Amino acid sequence: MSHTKRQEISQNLERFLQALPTLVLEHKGEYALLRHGRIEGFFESALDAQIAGNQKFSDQIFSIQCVEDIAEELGYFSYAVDPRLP
Amino acid sequence: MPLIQGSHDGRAAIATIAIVDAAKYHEHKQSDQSLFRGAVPFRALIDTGATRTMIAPRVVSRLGLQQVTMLRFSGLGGTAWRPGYLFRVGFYERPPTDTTEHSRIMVLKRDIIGGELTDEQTFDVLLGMDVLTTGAFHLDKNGFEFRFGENGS
Repeated sequence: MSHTKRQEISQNLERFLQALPTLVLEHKGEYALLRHGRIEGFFESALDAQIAGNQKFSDQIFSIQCVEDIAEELGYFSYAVDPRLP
Repeated sequence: MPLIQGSHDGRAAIATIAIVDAAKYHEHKQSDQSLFRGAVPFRALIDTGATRTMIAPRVVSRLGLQQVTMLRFSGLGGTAWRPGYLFRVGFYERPPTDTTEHSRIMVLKRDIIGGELTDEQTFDVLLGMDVLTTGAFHLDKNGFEFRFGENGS
């Protein structure tokens, strides 16, 4: 993955987390399409958001975040995720 | 409804699966090209303790999956964010004996957003509850079976 795409996803996540407390009130469970730190729209499914992103942005520089405030669990393999990583 | 059967060794249940980029799968439905020609069989560890399916870095690179999101996980040391990918999971009706064998693969209808594992493991995929709850999963002393949901999901 290119450095630009990685940077974009990271920047979008930062902005998304700032807005998350407000977003969950109206868009819980939906998928946000983000580009350059801005939310471009909300979609029912991740695939719908990805298709919209591919159609709208020919450089494919965008990301998707689900509007939810819960963390996933990995059971026995919890150690597979290193919390020291960004 | 399709039924997949497999075995376990008393410690772990392993299924043979295929992973397909969700966007490519969507495009494929409008063509008559075989998406699974040359598909790679992956070893998937079935883990009912995992809420989400995870894939090893080698699966990402082998398939050229593009990261679409970040996923938050809680573990022993707290919370961590990992890259997330959008894909579909297919089950081999019978694991291929070699790369030239044409295998029948049944694909779940649900798109899966899976995370990337930090390290390479002895398995390629950690098959979590997001996949297992799409159908009926049964495990006993003889092995396991997974029956697809009513609408093929």
